[in-house]
Amino acid sequence: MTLFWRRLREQRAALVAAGAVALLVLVALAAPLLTALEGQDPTTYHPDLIDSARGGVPVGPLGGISGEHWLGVEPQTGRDLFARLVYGARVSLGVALAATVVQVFIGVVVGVAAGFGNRWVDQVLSRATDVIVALPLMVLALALMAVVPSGFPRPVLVALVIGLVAWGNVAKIVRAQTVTLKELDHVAAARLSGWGSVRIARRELLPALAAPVITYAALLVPANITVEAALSFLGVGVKPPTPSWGQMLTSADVWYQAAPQYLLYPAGALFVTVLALTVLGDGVRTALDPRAASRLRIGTGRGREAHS
Amino acid sequence: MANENDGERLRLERNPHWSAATDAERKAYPDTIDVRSGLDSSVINQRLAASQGADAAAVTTDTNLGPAELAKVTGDKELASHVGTGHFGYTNYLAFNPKVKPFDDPKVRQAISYAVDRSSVINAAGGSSLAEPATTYLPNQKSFGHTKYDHFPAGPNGNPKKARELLKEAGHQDGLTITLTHSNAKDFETSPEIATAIQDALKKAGITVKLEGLEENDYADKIHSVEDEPGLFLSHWGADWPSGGPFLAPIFDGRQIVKDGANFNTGFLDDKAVNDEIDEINKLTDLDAAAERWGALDKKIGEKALTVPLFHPVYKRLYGKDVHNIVISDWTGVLDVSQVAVKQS
Repeated sequence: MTLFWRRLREQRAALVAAGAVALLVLVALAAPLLTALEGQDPTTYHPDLIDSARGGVPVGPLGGISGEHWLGVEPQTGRDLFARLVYGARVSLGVALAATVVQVFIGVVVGVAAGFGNRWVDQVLSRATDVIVALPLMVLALALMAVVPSGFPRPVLVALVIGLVAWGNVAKIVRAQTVTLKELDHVAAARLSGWGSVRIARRELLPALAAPVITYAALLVPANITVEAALSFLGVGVKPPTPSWGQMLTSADVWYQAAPQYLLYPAGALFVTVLALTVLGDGVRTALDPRAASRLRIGTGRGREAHS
Repeated sequence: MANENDGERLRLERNPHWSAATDAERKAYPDTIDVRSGLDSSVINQRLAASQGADAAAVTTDTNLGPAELAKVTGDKELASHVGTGHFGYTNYLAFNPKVKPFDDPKVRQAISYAVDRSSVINAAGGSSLAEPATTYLPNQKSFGHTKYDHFPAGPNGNPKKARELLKEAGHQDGLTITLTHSNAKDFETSPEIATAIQDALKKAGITVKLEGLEENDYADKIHSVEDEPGLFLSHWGADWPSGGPFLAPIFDGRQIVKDGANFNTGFLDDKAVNDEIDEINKLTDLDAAAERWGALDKKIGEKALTVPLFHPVYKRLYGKDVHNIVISDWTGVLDVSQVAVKQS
């Protein structure tokens, strides 16, 4: 484990990305504190800060940026954009990360069991995975959301639904990888020495699976943010006035010419999140793979100075 | 006349038999009219804003500017001079189902009428250029019999104090939690933006509003069903012809409550006096006298607080820079192509 941290620390890009992710999470957690510092909240209307006769465009330059409204205000309502952005981070990041955890957990369990189990287990689990992959995510999500009573906390529900519906791809990748790993010497040796399946899965398979799974998980997060946005747009996701980046994007898309910052803030936040997670995921994968360092060094001319 | 793709494109030529001497209504300025249909509204507005080539002589019959498009157009003086304004007999309102608690209590309905903040609703609908506040059910045009009244004056920003008093009288001094049903259509009429604005205003009167956003078809099915009609929801009504009749009769005539089909009498009003008055006015042949009585009837029905009128829409439409004589009909809300002229270039 210490080797892993050392390898991760050696990659500057991954460190910057880790810092960015940490900052985003921190901002999301500290949303009430940050908005209190600004003196605003995400739901109060400020009709005096928008020009009603001009479609509700924010008054003043750059979308009404001022000392009181750090990122300006939302068109048509005058709600504070900074407050909505940081509160939106809670919903978007929270839902997407939680959904990804659920997806990865189910996907890894099903994938390893299918790849490592006997023929019947593999058949049943693989066909179940095929069904899940084939099912249209939105339709299934809509159906699930419709049957749950309205009292259930929405963000939790959205995360669970996305997680329970879209784990098929993870399971497929994990199964394929497991089947390959099963043939390798160190796994075969473990089996011959009489280790139980669970122990082999934990000690021999999971570490080797970490690289592809983490890389894929880093790509799942942005996809999940988009699904949350789509569900919210259809009215079954997070309910207004609770802000989320996805909701902000859908209502801002028509404003890109008249109030571009309204679209640019959530889009920028999403971009930074996706980029940071992807770079971090790549860094973690490299750090976990003992051979990656030597492989990556080939042809770069950095071979000798690199710390080994 | 040439037709391509079953009406997707029509080319209309000048009628050689038309004469200004026999037709006082139409102008017939253009020699040909090239009709295109099936275009996306944002594409139409983009093309009219650019006014490139043939688009400089183009008009749209019924594509309105949205709030964001209006913001962009009004930021450009040249473009802003190519915007036509029109009206249509149309009212967006909050509807109560008095069969659902607590809306069976007139005091609760009145409290909500007082608490509504029409300026924030209008902002959500696109701002003061695209919507006018409504306190009457009849649209604000004489032909509908519009008679001014405001039984529960909320002012431009709502009167939460008065609303609280009424709630207290109704026994809800500790506040009230209600559900507002709306559609998820992006129409700025029954959409989430309007619902959120109402939610924000009622909060000031101590009313917690839960929003129930429904998919468009689901929403339409529910609000027009006698059995499933929600207690409080966003609704709208437009006239078939400019008179008070097609406005008041379908919504407030008790004999028009449709049990097994699409019902529009949302407040389930079945009042003999109202029904009889509707019959009486329908017999009148003097349109002005009829209009006056429609207005009086609207004012009387308004006292029951079965609806909270919110706003009447205003239509803003772009036209190409070479087009003149823009007339948007107050009856249909559609740009009148028979009046349009094109500058020779």
